[in-house]
Amino acid sequence: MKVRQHAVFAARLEVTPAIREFVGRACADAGLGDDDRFAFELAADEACTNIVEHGYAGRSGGEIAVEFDADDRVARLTLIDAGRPFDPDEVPRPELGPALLDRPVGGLGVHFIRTTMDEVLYRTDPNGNHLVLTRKLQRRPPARPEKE
Amino acid sequence: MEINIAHRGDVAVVAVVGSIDATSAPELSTALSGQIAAGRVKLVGDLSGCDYTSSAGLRALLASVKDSRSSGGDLRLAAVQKNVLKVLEMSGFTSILKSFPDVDQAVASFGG
Repeated sequence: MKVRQHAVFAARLEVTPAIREFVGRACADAGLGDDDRFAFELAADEACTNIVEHGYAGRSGGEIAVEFDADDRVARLTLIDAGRPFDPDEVPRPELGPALLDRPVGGLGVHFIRTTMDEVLYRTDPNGNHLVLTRKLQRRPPARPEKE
Repeated sequence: MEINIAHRGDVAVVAVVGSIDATSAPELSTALSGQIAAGRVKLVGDLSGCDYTSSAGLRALLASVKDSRSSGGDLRLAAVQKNVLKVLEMSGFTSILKSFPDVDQAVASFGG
C-alpha cells in the first residue's frame, strides 16, 4: 500500500519543529520503525533549517512544501521551496572527529542527510527547488490482513 | 526544551529536557557559556531527558567543549539517549566528548 501525505509550512526557523513533527507522524502513519522515523525527522529538520537559513536567508513570506510517501520498501521525503538554490552536493564534506576541535564546524547537517538517506536528489526548475530524500526501509510496515 | 542547572561541588550539571534543534540550541549555548563565563568550567551535560538533537545542538556542545577546555575544564555528557547517541556517532563526536552512563559517574570523573 502506498501512503502519501502533503503539507505546506511557512519557511521560518520556529516552524521547523512542526515540520519535524509532521514528518514523524507521516512516518508513523506509514508504519515505519523507530530508526527509519528518526532518520526522516533528522533529515527533514536539517534540510528545512538549511532552506530557511541559506535558501530564504532571512527573506520573509517564503514557504516549504513537504511531501512524504512510502510503500513497503522505500520512503521518500520531498521538500520544495522558492528560495535561493541550495544544492547539498555543493556543501563540502566536513572533517569529523578530533578535527572538529581545530576548525569551524560546517556542513554537519548535510552530512547527516547524506548519512541517513540512501539517495539525495536536488533539482531546480521554474516551480522551485526540489530536494528528494529516499531511504530503503529497515522494517517493513505490518502486513494488511488478507481478504478471504 | 527546558534547561535545569544544578551545582555539585565545583561541577555544574546542565540538564536538558526535550529536543535540541536550531530553535532551541541558542538557549543551550547561552546556559553553557553563562556557566563558563562565571568560572564554572567543569560541566556535565545531563542528557537523560533529551530525546533528540540536530547538528545545531552539536555545534552548541562543541563550542562549550572548546571554551571549557581552554579554561582548564571540560564538558562531559551523561545518560545519552539512543537517538542523540546516533547523532554523536555520525559526527565523530564520540571521539571528542567523554560520555558516562549517569550523572554521578560524570561528576565523579572530574575527581571531586
